[in-house]
Amino acid sequence: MVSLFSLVSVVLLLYAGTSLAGSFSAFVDKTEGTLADQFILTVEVDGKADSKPQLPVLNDFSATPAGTSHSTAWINGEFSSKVSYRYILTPERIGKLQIPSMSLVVDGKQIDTLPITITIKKELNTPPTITPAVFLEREFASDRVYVGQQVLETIRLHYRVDVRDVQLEDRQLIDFSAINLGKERHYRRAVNGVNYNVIELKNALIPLKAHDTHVPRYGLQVQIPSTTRHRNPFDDMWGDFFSTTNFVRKRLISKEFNLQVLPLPAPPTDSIDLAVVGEFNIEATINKRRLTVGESATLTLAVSGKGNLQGMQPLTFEFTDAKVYPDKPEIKMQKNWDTGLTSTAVFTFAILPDHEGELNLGEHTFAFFNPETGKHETATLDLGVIAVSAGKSEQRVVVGGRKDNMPAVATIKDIHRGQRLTVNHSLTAALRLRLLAIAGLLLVVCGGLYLYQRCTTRRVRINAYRDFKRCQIKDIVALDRAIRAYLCSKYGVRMSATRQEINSSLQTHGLEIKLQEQLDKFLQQLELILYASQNGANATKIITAGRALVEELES
Amino acid sequence: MTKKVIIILSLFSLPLQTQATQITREDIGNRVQTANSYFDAGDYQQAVDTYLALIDGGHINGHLFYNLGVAYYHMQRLGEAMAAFLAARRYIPRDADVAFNINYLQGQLSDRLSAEVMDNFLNLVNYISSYISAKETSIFSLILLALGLILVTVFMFRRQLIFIFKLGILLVILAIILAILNHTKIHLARQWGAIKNAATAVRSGANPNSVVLFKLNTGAPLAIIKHANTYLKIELSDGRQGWVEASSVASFL
Repeated sequence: MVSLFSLVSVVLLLYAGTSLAGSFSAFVDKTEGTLADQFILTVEVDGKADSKPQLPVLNDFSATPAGTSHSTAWINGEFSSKVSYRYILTPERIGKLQIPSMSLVVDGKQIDTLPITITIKKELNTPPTITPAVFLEREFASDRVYVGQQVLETIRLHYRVDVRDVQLEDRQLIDFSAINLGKERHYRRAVNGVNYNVIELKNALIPLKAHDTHVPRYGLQVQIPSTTRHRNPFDDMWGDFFSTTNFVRKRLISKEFNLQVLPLPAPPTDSIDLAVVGEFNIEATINKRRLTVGESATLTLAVSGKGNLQGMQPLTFEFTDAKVYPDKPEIKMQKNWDTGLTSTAVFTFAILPDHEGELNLGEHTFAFFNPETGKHETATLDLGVIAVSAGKSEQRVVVGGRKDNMPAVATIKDIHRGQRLTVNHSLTAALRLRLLAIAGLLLVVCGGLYLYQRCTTRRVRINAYRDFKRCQIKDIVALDRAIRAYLCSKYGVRMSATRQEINSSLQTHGLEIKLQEQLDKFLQQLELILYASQNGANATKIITAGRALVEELES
Repeated sequence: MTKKVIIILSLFSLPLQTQATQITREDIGNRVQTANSYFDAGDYQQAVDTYLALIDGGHINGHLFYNLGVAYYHMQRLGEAMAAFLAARRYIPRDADVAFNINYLQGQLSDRLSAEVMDNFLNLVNYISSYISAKETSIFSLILLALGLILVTVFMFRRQLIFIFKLGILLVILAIILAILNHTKIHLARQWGAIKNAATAVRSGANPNSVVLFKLNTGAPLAIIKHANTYLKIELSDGRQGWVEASSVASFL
């Protein structure tokens, strides 16, 4: 009985001991698959770990974290916790791929997981489903290109079900340079009698070295509706919470493509630049055909066509009778969805003839390799001649603008000579004082003249006023002259002015209407006495009225 | 009355009779000729020294600065040459040779910078008056004032010529505005200079520990905004600003 009790106690103690010890393990959901499959790696830590488990270096997989879950429990009065870390692994190649061992210290004890081997098999050549829900297609415009020649890669994602969260995978292109040709296009297309929605992407791939090569697979991940009722625990729980459809993540990869990259054939002459591959045209414009010595003409050469000109060497010119100053070349690349890359390179030169005569610019040849014909070709332009006449002694140069970048003369102008160097150009204090003195003098002279004129006119007016007051009826002529002299002095009215002229002049001086009318009436009565031989019976009365009027004007 | 007028006129004409020049024009002519002879003989250093002695002696002449620039150019001191041409432009702004040589020099420099800054009202004034020097503007405003006063005077004797009076007043106002603008330009205009040394550091502050914002090469034209100890605050034609050591900048008046 005692021995049985002892045995049970030992078993229970051993059980308790094992249940209290921490554990660290790693496992995958499946160990076989194809490149199109994804594998779920789960790393479980049961116990108190010193740190978070770290994934080892995975050479054959790309890993994406897929979430963490925690669970806690009380066992025999002891608290235990378990943490699961999940990763989605995407295989990179076919063969036996290994996930190396991982180490972690749990509850003070180092634990190593076992390495996991996953077998990736070649996809079976079974005919695909006639109308799959989603599939990826990749096309190349050619399977045989030259180094530097662009080849168009078209990727089409076909789907006839609702797809979500389309993610392109990064790919390593070592021997190619890839340029995306623009935003993806969406359209519908019928495949085997079934309508599909299509998302199309296009890239221009430019091979960098000559050899037969595999263009790496193109992969993307997409969420599609699940065909089973089983809910994938790694799907976005909250995203599907209110949805009636379950979505699963699917990886789509294109097939490998064998591309033959040919080296460029040797050029017919050594002078030909090998960097440019494509079909190009060259055009030239020159802004002036007639120049004087010291003047410059601008020659613009534009190379354009299908292909990449980014690595092109700048064009150069040399003339024995002229200096050439090149401007910074402008090379632009345009993306075209249907034709790929087209480029334009603009080279500008300032040509400065040294002496008069005819400057023959000659022919200019631009060489390139045409991949369509598989031959080196040249485009030749006859740039013509520039007529150069004798130069001017001086030329005004506009500072600023594009031509600033180009010297306008062959040499700097010589020093100045003569008496002009002896004149002081600064605005010295003495000069300022002189100028101020002159201004002051002018003001004083002007003011003096004003005062003199004012005194003179006042004197005249006073005399006229005095004469007017002294006038008797027999001196009616003197009376007329006196009033006119008075008006002339005060308002600048001519002595011989008519009544209308006097009125308009007084109007411009802003005289009151009432006074104007009184004055006009007075002048009219004077005229009647003087020229209409009217009886001067009322003359005394007129003179009295006139005196009152003048008094008012004077005041 | 007449006596009083004569006394007033005599008082105002006193400054006109002053002869402030310490060196005679003949003496200046001889020294300029000497400097030019050095230049012709290829002794550019002597020519530069003589031109500078004349300038330091108070003889400010745009052509003299121009000759100084040409001599510096032949000595391959492009920074000083540019600074001298820019100084010449200040005094003889319409001279074709000065514009020509500035343009030519710019073509030889590493930094493609213009010698114009156009970003505020003052520079607009500078631009408008870039074809006429300060001295010429002063004389021109005086002529306008005289013309305006003459017209006003004519009106005093011919009261009916109101238009003449208005024109005269307009000219007087114009002369006053021009004089004020000229005064503003003289006192507030930026001084121009050029970088003397290659790869001169332009810093964010006026001390050697400040961050280097960018570098300028020999001859780069610049406007001097402020002086602070041994540093100058500068602005370039493209709007960039910064501080450079004063010893790295050539500038003439």
